[in-house]
Amino acid sequence: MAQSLIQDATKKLNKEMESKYKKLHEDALTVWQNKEIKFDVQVMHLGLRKGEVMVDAINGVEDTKGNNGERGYLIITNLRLIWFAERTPKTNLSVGYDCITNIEIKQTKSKLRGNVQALYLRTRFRDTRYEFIYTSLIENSPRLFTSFQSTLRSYDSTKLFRDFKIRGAIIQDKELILLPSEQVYHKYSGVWNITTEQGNLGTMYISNIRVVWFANLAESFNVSLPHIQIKGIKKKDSQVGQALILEATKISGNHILGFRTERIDEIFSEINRIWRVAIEAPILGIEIAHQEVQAPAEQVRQPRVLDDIEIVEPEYAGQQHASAAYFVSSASASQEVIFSPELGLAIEKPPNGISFEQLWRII
Amino acid sequence: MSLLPLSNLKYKMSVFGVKEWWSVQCGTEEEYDVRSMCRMESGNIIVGSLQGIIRGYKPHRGDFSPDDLLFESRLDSILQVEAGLFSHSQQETIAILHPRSLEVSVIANSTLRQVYEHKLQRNAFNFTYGKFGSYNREGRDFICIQSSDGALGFYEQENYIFAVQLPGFLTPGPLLYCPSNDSFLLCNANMQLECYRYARLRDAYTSYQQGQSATFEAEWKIILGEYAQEIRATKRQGNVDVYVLGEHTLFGIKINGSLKIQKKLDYVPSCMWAFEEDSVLIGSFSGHLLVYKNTKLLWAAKMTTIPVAIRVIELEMPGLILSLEEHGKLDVSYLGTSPMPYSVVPVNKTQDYASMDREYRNVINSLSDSPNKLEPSIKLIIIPQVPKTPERDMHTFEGFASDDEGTIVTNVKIGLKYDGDVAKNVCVQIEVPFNIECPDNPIHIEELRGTVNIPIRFLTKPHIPCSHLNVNLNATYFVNESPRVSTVSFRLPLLQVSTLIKPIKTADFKITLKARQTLNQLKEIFFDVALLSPNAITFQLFNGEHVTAIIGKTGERFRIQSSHFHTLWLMVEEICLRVGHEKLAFEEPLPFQDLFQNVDSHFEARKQLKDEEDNLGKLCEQYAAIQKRLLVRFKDKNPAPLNNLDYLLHVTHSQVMARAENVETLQEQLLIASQKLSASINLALLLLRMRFNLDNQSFEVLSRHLNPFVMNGEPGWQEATNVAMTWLLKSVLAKNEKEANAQLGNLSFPTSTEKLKKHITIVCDRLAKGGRLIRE
Repeated sequence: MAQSLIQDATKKLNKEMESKYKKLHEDALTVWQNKEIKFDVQVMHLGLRKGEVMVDAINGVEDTKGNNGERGYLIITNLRLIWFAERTPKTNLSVGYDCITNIEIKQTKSKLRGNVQALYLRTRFRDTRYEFIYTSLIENSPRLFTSFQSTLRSYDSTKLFRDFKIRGAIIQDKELILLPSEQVYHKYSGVWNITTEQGNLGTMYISNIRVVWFANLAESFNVSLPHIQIKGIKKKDSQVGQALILEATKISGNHILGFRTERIDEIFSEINRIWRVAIEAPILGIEIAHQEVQAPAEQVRQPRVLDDIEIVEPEYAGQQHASAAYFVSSASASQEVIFSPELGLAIEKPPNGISFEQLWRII
Repeated sequence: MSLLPLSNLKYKMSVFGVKEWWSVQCGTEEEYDVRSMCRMESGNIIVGSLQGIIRGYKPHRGDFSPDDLLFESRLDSILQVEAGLFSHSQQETIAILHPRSLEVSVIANSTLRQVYEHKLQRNAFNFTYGKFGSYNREGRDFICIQSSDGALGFYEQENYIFAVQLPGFLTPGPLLYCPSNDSFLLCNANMQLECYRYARLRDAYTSYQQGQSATFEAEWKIILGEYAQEIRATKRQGNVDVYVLGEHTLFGIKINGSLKIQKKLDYVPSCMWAFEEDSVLIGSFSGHLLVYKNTKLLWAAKMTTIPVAIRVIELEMPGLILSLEEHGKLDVSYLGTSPMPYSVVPVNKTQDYASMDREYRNVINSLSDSPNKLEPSIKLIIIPQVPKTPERDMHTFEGFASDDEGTIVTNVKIGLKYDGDVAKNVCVQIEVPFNIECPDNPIHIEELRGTVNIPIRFLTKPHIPCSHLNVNLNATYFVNESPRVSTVSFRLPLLQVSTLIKPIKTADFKITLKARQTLNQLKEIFFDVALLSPNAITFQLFNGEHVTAIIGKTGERFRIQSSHFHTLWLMVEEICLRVGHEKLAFEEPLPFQDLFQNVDSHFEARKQLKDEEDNLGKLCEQYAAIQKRLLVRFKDKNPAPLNNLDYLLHVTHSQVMARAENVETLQEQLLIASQKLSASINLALLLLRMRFNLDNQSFEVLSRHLNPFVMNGEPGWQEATNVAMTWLLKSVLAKNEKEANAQLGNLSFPTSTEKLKKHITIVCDRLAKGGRLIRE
């Protein structure tokens, strides 16, 4: 069963990561699940990270694009979409919600399967576009992908739980606009931001989700840094005295925020404590209301694990190959873009010195 | 002007896509529209959602980083954002339009700071800006706001200047200020592009202030026939100054109002942007981006979104494409040149040869069965059998022409013949002149096999003048589910509308037709009528008008005389049909005076009806107002005394009724006047034909322009004919280049008929001088 497989993988993953969490290793600090697309990962990595929860599991789903004809499971978590083949979970996909640019759910009529639903995902990851199509193999099932749609919607509306943001509309009338379930632990006034030369006097909030600072004179000059985006907290001597340094993760653009305040020790230890709690039990923004259902006896019973040994392949081995099936286009920053006077528009430099007119005439 | 054929599906086959330069999703669950985005000179992009969140971005090549957001602010609903010099400082400012206010702000320290605000009296729709008026030399941008009820309000920085109400307004549309001729272009519910000069609007307002009437008209108008989505001006001098995107068409228009380009689009466009000289960028709902230069498709690429707004901008390099999607996906992109792989998804894997072959045969069969073939040779044939003289029916039909023996009826037998298998759902519509009634109209037959004879009757309304006697029969029917049409026309006998009386020798209106060869005797010409005198014949119509034809003793001329000018027509037509108009000539001066009298009296009747309808409208308003007041009184728990309001209501009601009756009478009078006019025009056309020996084709052209079918709708006959006459003078009858470039008149209700009369006279003059109506 899909659930038990994920549960096993999660257990394994937690065991593996335990030491990394203790050491505050970068792997433990980065939430990659929602930011990346991965093909055929080690089954262990299909396990849910801390703070990640399973929203729904759908069986009988075909990955129409890459593994046509292969039955599989679709797992919806609060961070990503996981698909793996029924036959072997080694054939799998993990699509982070941040990579999704567009989704579409189509009701299609298939001669083989009757009325079925298909889920179209258009995604983008590191300059490359991929397209995924999942078709439900179960006839006349009304639900299927709707839970995915609502998950994605609530994911989109809770970006501030996960993402670093500056200059946002997060302050109103000198007060922080609270997120759902957010609790402010402390509000410190008289905190100087020393990122700019002259410094700005402002107010800092520390909540269960993030650290927020805004300038008293211009409330739109602000930062919102979720704890899960903090890489390190330091005290450092600067020209203006001891400063509090907050380092943001690579995903957040390696930003470094410097603050100066009289109560530096207090703030430092507070953030540090809350940060460590947040690493262990991060709040990622989506709340799932579970309906308690009495589990049937078969599910309560532990399944017999046949083989606990997994042959680990080097990570890159299948990856290139697997991604090719979903590839749509790529636009990397290394591509040369020129201005075409004929078109009056910017255009990618045509290959081998062909003119754009020749290229157009090919069709 | 170039009209291109509807073709070129090449854009759909484009293997290219646009590639991402920079991209961001602006907020969630917000909506954006065509006016939600603008670009500042500094390269910053401002987007404001309908939900009221405004954001500034500074794009660069690469992934979005949190630094790219310059500011984010929550305001009231945002209808439009534009950047320009809206304040007194040199600093670039942003104008933000909300439904009831216009806000001008600057960006300072990553904050949006308001400089000033105008509260609006009416609900705003959109705005345009520019350096209006010749006195504006400082280079400041002024603002013109269009309200959703059709007022244009003008603002110069903090000051409100004036407002004007647009004439004939229904719903708002796109608006653009055009600096090259200091005017405003707008498209509204009339499906027209209209151009209003700023100076004219200002003058209208000034005269309004001075208590004079403040009417103003568009500088020019162009009928687009579609609702416009966007108007964009090209910055540099090109072939075309303004591009208008319709629902299915792209129009290119010069600033003087002439149409340069009209391109039919074979997809549904979503947005448009004009750039460079003659280049246009169009986004489509099929998710394509199309680049045109002078209607030629230069490039097409698949987009990842469907844009609602599009721009060409310069960031680190020129020519980048900025697009905004409905839900806030903001992209900066460039055109890719490496082909995109097709994503073909197998729909059904079990396609075998047998089923494919079956499907192929089905398609071939359905193609050969399609009705898209030549008209079948077997048609429904209509054979009317028209008697030479009408009969008398003993049944009296109330209100129709009759004499002592009974009602005058022409019994026509219609033979419907279909030689094919079966014609289904046959319906014959009988089209008669206004003074004739056919009680058997229409004829309906469920299934027709072989031949059917159906009698139909024609009756005469005695008080309406006769304009012609032609009857058209249109039969529609179905053969094998496909619709077919057959038509035939015939003429009713003259005696259906008149009686033969003893010749009357005196009359007010006379014309003479000369014979080119000796004519037969009158009794041979009217062989089917019992003549009362050897050389003269008089018909009297049922409204008392009479017309007489006298043949010269040697048979070399006809004199036709009548109590009324328009009645001459019936006799002239009758004689021409019996003798042949080639054998007759008309050498007298054309009777313009008499013709114009009918034109004028018809016009007078139109005017009277229009005035009376206006009066009726006002009275109805008054009635509604009194009703409302009464209702308000009665709604009160303790109603105030009625103060004779009930009496006023009663009086107004009787006035409304009287006026309505008046309108009915005037409508009847207008019908009579138009019948007279129609007959006079028919006569004039026939005389012109004989006078100038017009061939069939020229006669056809002339009668299409000087239309004898007087319909009493909008636009009316006078203005339509005036435009038609002007067109003749501007096209085939033009003497020089200047005339060919003359403006056509407009189709509004004219103040007088002088121009029309002048133009008809000139056309006849030109014809007299050998002008030809058909170009070689």
